[in-house]
Amino acid sequence: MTMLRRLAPFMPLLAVIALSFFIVIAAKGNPIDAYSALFQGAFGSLQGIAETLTQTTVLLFAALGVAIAFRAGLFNIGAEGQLIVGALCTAVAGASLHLPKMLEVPACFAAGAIGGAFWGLIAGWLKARFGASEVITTIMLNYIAYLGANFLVAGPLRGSASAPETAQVWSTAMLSPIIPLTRLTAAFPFAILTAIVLWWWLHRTVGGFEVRTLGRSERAARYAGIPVQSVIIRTMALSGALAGLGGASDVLGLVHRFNAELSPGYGFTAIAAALLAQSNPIAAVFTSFFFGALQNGALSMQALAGVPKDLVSVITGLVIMFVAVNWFGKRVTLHGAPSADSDDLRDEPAPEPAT
Amino acid sequence: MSGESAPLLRCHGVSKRFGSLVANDRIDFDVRAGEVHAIVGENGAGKSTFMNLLYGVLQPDAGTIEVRGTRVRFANCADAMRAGIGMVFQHYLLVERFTVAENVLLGRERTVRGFLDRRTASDVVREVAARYRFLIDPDARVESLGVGARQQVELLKVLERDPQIVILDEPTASLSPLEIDGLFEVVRRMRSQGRAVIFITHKLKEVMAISDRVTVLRQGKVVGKLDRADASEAILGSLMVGRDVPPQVTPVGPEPSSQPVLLVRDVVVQTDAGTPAVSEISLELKSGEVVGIAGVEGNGQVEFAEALYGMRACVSGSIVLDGADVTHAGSVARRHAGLRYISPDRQREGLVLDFDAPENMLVGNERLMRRGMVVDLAAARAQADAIARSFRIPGYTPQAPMRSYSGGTQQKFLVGRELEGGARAVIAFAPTRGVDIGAAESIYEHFKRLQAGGACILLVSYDLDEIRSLANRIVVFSKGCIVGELRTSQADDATLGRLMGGSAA
Repeated sequence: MTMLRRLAPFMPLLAVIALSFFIVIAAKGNPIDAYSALFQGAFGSLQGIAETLTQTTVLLFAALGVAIAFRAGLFNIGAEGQLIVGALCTAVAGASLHLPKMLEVPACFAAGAIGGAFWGLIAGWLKARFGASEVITTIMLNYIAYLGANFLVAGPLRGSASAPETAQVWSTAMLSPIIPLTRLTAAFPFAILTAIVLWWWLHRTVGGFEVRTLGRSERAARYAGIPVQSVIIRTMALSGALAGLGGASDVLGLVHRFNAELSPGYGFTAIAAALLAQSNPIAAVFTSFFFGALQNGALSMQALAGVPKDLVSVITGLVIMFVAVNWFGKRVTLHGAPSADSDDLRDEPAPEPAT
Repeated sequence: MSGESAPLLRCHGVSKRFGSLVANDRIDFDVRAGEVHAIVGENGAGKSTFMNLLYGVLQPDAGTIEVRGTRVRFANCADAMRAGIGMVFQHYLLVERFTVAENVLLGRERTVRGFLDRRTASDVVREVAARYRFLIDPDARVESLGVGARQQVELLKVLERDPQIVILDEPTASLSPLEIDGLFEVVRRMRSQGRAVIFITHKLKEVMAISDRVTVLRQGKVVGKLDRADASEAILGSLMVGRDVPPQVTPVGPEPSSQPVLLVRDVVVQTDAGTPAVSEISLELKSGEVVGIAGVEGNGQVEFAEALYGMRACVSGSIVLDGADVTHAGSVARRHAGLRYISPDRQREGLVLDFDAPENMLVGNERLMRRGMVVDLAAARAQADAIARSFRIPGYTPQAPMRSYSGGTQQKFLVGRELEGGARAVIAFAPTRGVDIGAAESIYEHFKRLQAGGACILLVSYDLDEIRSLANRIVVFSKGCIVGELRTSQADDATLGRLMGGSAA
């Protein structure tokens, strides 16, 4: 049973991979062909690997944002909106500020983080002040971000004659590839570093401890004297800032301007990546890599095996569904579910009588 | 043994293992119609496991269970119910927003042509309630009921099915003396109707009061089977623990000095709903003094304790600790000044069950045990180690989540954390609830040591024996007011009971 418990985190993946086999067959495709094409596309060449890591980068930032909110017990569905606002702020900063590259790039990332943080903070404040569910408000804020950005690039912020998008950022704001002829930039190691720092912050600092305590038990947090409302607001802001960094890395490394279609749903895939990682920042590196590879390989799969790339969205959805399953956990029964107080069920020998 | 009638339920050699732990080891047990059979044992002795085997929640690894002479195998509780077994759990499972009748008939709703038939439901429940002389309105919502009434709803849920065998798991855990008397009346009525009652408890006084026979469990084994006539609290206590136990009531600690440590003046506190919880409470705790707060659950004790600790605002009044006014300080500042709170809800409030023991040392101390912005995990580990040593916690592993320990061990960690590091005034709320005798003894020892060191303890408890054995002075809470103050020597059951019932001294 202990062996099985160790496997539990991987069960959703195994289940989804098995299930998607049948989905491919139902779609009259050949699953072996589909997966080998997907694998080829994602890892078959240096370019393929680099592009997988490029996709991983944006996803990872957003997944870290979702994960940190989860750790505080907050379900941030709004990574997509926060990413869009962050990307827009980055693009505006990159096109207007003209600084040496050493300053320009950090300034643009900061603009992305601030934009995302502001968008997250709105939901956090609504929750702390009025008790509004962050699930609802972040979903609504996603729409506001997407449609608002659409409006801005079509009107006031339009910087291109040919399409509704902002002006291109200065060349000093563009990240250059760290592997020639690919789109992989320094944003990737930056994302990894962010994950490590975030893990350290969560597990070693007072602020991280407060977040984790709140996430495990709000009553314990109140008991411990943790300012619950302020932690909710700060965590949502931090969560949004991380998603905003994802948007910034997208603009500075890949698109170099903002248009409202620049995210293929990174913010939603990030929820699956964070769930699969059980909100552990280090594990999120690997789950983001998994989804990055899926997204990147999907195009090859469509081209070579004729399986629509939408299969990847199906897989993402299935992952979220299967993560919700309590693998090998105690069966939930309505009657007589052993309560936490029934000591006899614990793996502890009866206490020795004190002498 | 008076073996006139064949037993309704008989177990032979029942065993259950969890990994390397033998929770139940070849247990033989039987209960006859019209008999109350108590099962006593410390936490972790295997009582709950055994009940879960009888009620089909768990299945035995070995041994047989017979009901009315027929061997049975329960795959789940529904099987056990069909065989005529009913169980009242220690923790109530009620839907707050539903009425009493809706809760009692949950899953077995009375219907007319597919629609709920509320009137019949109320009548059915009223009829069962009348049979047991419960004064309960079937149409009242459960959220409006007190603890005693909620237990009656749980009892009704079981009794409505008319089971021949009734299992009561620690039924008196949160009842006042009056409510316990009421429960015993019900148990006696069940007995006279020819039902078999299995009564699980670790309170020996109750065993002596209500049972016909007693089975004592220790470390998963039956270590004693007695008729009540042959039993005494002392005999049962030593069987449970495996050695002689000093009498429960230990002498009151040293006389306190005159130096006040905690001064509470005219404190007014509200409930979450904004209604008055306590009004103008004044108390003075001197150095080395233990003051007990007695009262029926839900008379403002929780709100008062939370206000003292800083989790709840005082509407008016003042709280002074060692000469410093802390009325408007947060709980972190109060902890820093030496105020501690042993929360009555260790599982959701005092501890974080998913954290390991060292991390739990940081709960409440996260801003006190730190180096700059980094939490001081080394100090937390050292503190957890020290508690494991001084409370003699067997098999302590720093990495194990708090969830994996027994309730008694969890309580030791909570108490240990709150008493460590310069505690001046400790609000100890039900500090030994659900804790076995050994653990309670070592908690009391630590209280004594703290007292000797000049700190004061405000002991809030629903267990009158505990208050009497520890407190120098007892105040009684009723409806948010202090209705009486007694020296411990004057505090007999009758006086306390009368005050707790709300009549002034």
